[in-house]
Amino acid sequence: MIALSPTDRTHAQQAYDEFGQAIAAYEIGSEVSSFTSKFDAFLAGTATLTAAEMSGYNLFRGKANCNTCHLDGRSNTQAAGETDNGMATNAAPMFTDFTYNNIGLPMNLALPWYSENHPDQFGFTANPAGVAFIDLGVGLFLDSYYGSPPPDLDWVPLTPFFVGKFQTSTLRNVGQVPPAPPTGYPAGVFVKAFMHNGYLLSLNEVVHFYNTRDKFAFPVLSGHCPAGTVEKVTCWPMPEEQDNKNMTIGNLGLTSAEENDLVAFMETLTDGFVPITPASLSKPAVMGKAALPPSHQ
Amino acid sequence: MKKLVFVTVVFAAACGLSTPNRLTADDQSPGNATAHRVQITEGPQLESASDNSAIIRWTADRVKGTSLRYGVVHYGTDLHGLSQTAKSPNRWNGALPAMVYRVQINHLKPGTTYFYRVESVDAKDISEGPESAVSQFTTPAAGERIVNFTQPE
Repeated sequence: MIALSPTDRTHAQQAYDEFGQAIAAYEIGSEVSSFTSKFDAFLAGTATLTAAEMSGYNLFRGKANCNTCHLDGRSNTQAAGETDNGMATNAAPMFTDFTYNNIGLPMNLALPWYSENHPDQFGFTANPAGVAFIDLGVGLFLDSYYGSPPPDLDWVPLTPFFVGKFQTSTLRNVGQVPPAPPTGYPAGVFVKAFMHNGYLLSLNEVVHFYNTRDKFAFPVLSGHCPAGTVEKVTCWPMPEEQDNKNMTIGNLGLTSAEENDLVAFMETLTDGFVPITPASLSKPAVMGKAALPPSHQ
Repeated sequence: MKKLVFVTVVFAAACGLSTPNRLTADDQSPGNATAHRVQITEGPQLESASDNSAIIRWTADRVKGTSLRYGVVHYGTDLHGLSQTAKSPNRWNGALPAMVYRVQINHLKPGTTYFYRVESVDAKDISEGPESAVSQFTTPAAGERIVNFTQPE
């Protein structure tokens, strides 16, 4: 934690807000979202998925229920005569429905945040609650945060419906790893972290968590799994927040091989399989400014 | 084919996990001609339980409409007074013909028998099907756990 005066801390917070806006502006650009993954090529009929990738794709939209939130653009089987009121799309799927969910993730007590419960030299304490702090996600935003006013008093009554919820992330590029040296990192140096608090450190851990969260649930904090169990393998510490916990996941009955197939499929979502060209950067059309109604341009 | 896999059973024999599941007569009634009704095809049953929590699961078909639904469990220690309610969000996979509802119940007491019945509501909190018949489960003793899982093959 960096000790800052109140004035400098305000400036720092403004800078972080602007960081976020700048990153968002970059991410929406075609340089990041180029839609040139192997899966896009598969949809276009110019690439073939391996057996493991295809198995993972079928699990993704079947037994594993991933596509209930990470929309794959292919999930609607209404019967004849029924109305399609789903999210069918004729554009490249985004692999998110942009909703908010509580997936029951444990606290990540490795974060320095939990030990920042002492005042700095200016008297500022970042996290007065220490390890008792509960990240309520959208609920925390709606209900104010450590004494700051709520963003809108009319939203406060909605807080119970949003505690513990975080936005569903896109899965595009979820398996992307940095390049090797000389421009990237040596093997094992760069550790990719997943979820809002970085508790899960690989796609395999992510899938295993979704598969066994409730099967291997223990009422303990991270670092305190019972003897004979292994955290993240046969023991999942208790969720940071129980309210609104999504129960679609948690006991999917996937085998280890099926978990691996799902990872293989998600690794097909990394852009760059098809060389990025000016033509590829123009897709999908719905992402372009011209596709938006005038009021949104 | 389904195979019941009893992964871990702790005091299960003494727990009386559930009674046979039956649908109420309401399931067969025509009801509102415009209202869509799901049908419970499997369960409800206890999936797992700790000394202070339990997960109830069941399968329904005739599902359509919004992706977000809620499983609802009305429960209590008095067979005739299911005064408490647990409600969990579940997502329907539109690529599948049926969906599994799972609801977690918290703040239970160890070694206690609970009665329950289930229903589901849509994203607007409108009931979308029949309530099940009343079943029951018993939580294990303090520090113990029951895992009762149906593994598809």
